[in-house]
Amino acid sequence: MTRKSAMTASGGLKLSVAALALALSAGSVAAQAGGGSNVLRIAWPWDPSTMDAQMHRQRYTQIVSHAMRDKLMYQEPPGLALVPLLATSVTQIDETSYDVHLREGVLFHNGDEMTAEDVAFTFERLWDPATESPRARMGNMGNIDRVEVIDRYTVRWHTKIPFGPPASAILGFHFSGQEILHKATYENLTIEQARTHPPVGVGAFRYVEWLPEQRMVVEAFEDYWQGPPTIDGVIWRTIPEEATRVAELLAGSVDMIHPVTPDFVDQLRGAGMKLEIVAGTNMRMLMMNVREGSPFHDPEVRRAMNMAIDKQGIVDFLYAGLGVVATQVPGDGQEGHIEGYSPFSFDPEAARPVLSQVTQPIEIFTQGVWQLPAEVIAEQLRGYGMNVTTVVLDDATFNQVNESGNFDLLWAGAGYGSGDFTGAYYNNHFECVRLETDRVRTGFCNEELDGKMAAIRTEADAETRQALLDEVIQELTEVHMPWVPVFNAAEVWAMQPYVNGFRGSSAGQYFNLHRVSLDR
Amino acid sequence: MANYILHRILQTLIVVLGVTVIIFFVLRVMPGDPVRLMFGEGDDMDIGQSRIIYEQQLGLDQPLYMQYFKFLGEILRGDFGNSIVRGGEPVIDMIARALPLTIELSLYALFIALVIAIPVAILSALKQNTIWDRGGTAFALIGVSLPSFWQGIMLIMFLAVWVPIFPVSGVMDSHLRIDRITGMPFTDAMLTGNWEAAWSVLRHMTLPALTLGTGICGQFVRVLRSSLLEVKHQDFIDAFRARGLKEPTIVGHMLHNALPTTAVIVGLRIGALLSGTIVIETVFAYPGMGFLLIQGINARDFPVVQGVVVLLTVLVIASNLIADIVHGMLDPRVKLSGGRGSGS
Repeated sequence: MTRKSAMTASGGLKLSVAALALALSAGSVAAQAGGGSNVLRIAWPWDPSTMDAQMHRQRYTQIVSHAMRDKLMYQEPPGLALVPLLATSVTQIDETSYDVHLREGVLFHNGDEMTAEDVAFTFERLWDPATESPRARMGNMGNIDRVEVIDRYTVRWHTKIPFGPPASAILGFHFSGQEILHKATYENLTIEQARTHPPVGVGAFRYVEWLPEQRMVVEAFEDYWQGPPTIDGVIWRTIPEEATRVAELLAGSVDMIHPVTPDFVDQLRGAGMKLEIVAGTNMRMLMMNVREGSPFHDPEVRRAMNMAIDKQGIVDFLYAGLGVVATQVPGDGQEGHIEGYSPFSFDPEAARPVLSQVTQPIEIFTQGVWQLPAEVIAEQLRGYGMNVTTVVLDDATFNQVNESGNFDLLWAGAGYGSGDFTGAYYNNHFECVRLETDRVRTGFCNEELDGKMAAIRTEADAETRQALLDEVIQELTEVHMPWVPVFNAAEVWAMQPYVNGFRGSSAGQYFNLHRVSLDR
Repeated sequence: MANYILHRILQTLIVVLGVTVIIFFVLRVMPGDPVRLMFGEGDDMDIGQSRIIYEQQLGLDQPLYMQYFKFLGEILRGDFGNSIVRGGEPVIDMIARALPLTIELSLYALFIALVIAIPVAILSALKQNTIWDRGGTAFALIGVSLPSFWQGIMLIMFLAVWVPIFPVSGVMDSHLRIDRITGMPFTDAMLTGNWEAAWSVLRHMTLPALTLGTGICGQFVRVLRSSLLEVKHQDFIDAFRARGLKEPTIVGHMLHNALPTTAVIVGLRIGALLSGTIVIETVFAYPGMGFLLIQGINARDFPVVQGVVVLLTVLVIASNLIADIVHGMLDPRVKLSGGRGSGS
């Protein structure tokens, strides 16, 4: 080949590549408008695992499900308090019976009115062993005997044990976690069929399409009982990688992304994106092994640990202020949280004499996404003369270490999306009975405290109940101290400037998407 | 030839059996199980009991050897079991959805790799020890060395955000639909005459295919260049030149002689191509086999991981076998016989 022919070949190649690039670029603007001008396009890392509201345990599947099916109660954003949705009120009949009164005139997507039959069927299907639902025992539903239809708009709950006053009973009933099904549809579907059957609910949006691992599409339901949504529909796109989600938002091909980590906050703000920030319901804490043999068996060491960590510094410098410092065992907004209660302040001088005596090698176990704060905490503890290093584990391994209690220090998190403390949360982290089912965690167990909690669960008088609960919280936080509560990371959504009316939810489940508007 | 193929198929069965043992037990040995991961800290009053009940329902409380034989029996019936995390969806359905996407993306990446590699290798071989050759070699080295994750993100930033030529991620624009025939979106769109969707799919596939393609084309360049250099110095090439044949004709003959080796390398690189999709599909939110595998591993969804790994193993072995057969067909000097491998 001559020099000329080689150059001709090279030039031809360049032209071909350029022509291909130009040809493929044509029409990009039109294509990016996909989804329509009044459809909210959300990019998130998840994909709903099923269309059956009762066959999953994932928050993200529930978000999609809730858009199509309402529940008896929900946590209105941004807080955690339960407010009525399809139930108008709950009255206690006797120690183990409660009547739930339903809203009238609520229509399913197929035009049928929701009645007590639908509500009773929903819970009977959930608890039917043949359903094999992983949600069947959420809250305290394992102790519910049955439900009974009283009239067209009233359903009676019968419990095996006292559930306390209605305000606490509804947490045990887990009303905020179960979407109401259309009986006539679901009683004729097998579990396998229900997995992909278009949901029929009473929610603000109606099912359009589910392309697994790609997108979920819903459209506005004009006869929604709270009035028609202001947007025409919602598209959730599954994009696992955060950098890719951010790129999608910057390119204008989606309207909103979630979740956003602090790494991208400045970039998104700089690009003019709006951020919705609320304190999340996942509290990060340093769990200490309180069992014999661990250096943290000594309460004085645990007390010193509670004064040794600069929590505000971590929130400000690592999380750009996107977090709330935690000062007590219940998290911000959780049941039992005592407003203004902060028994320990950051006091290195008080912590140093005790912690400088703890010289044996100690590992802090953590997960990859939480490595940075764990490293900072380890560095702060090394400043007191402690010999602390961090060990990063994958999520599944971390969970196992957490439950087996095979650690000295664990940089852990605990979610409280339901807002509950006296029920599942206390049972899961502190109640002695948990040790029988291999949830050792810190190894903490105090039967006296368990006795007080048992009394709280059945106490009908609100004032007495609150006083008892305050006592338990204070004992846990400043007497037994199995944790150093550190902070709650914020939940962050980023969106285009034209997205209005979106309220983030601490619990991360309920967004009132029917009130969002797109003012492009 | 038939003897050879039969022998290789028997070998494949043994390898697949070995892979089922390894993947099954490695997944179980790894700490953490799907039920604990799924239930998390949970909102159940007695979450330990809830988990035990669910584990019994899924059969995860059975002894490992029984679970393994159940898994093996299912595979023999062409059933990979049901996803633990995705509401009991049959794994075979998930694979049927993901595999065509990966195949189409891999073919496009292969096409891009060859389109780049062949001219670069020819130029490099013809202009040996010149700046063209060094440039080609450097290109090959860079292609092999760049981490595909980083390269993918860079391509997104340059060609989808700053200069918005291509879409950032996904399979096609959200408002488009394609009737399923083969499951490969571009092919199906073409078969149904849905030109808008075909165009959208092609544009969405370009950045991931480019990332994958440049990763493997460096190796193609190196192999093809070496083969061309070997052929270039043979007597018959000098004879062609002496007869006054035109340069393109001579290059054609060189390519014909160099391609068998390259074809084998292409076949052998199918494995690298498929493993490359694991990262690339996640970066570009392209829901193929790699995407499925990562989701399955993260959720400890045992049946999904097992199904994907076993199938990918079969695919890699099959592609190697095909490469050997093609090698034999392209190069008459190669004889394929059972029990002694290729080229004997």
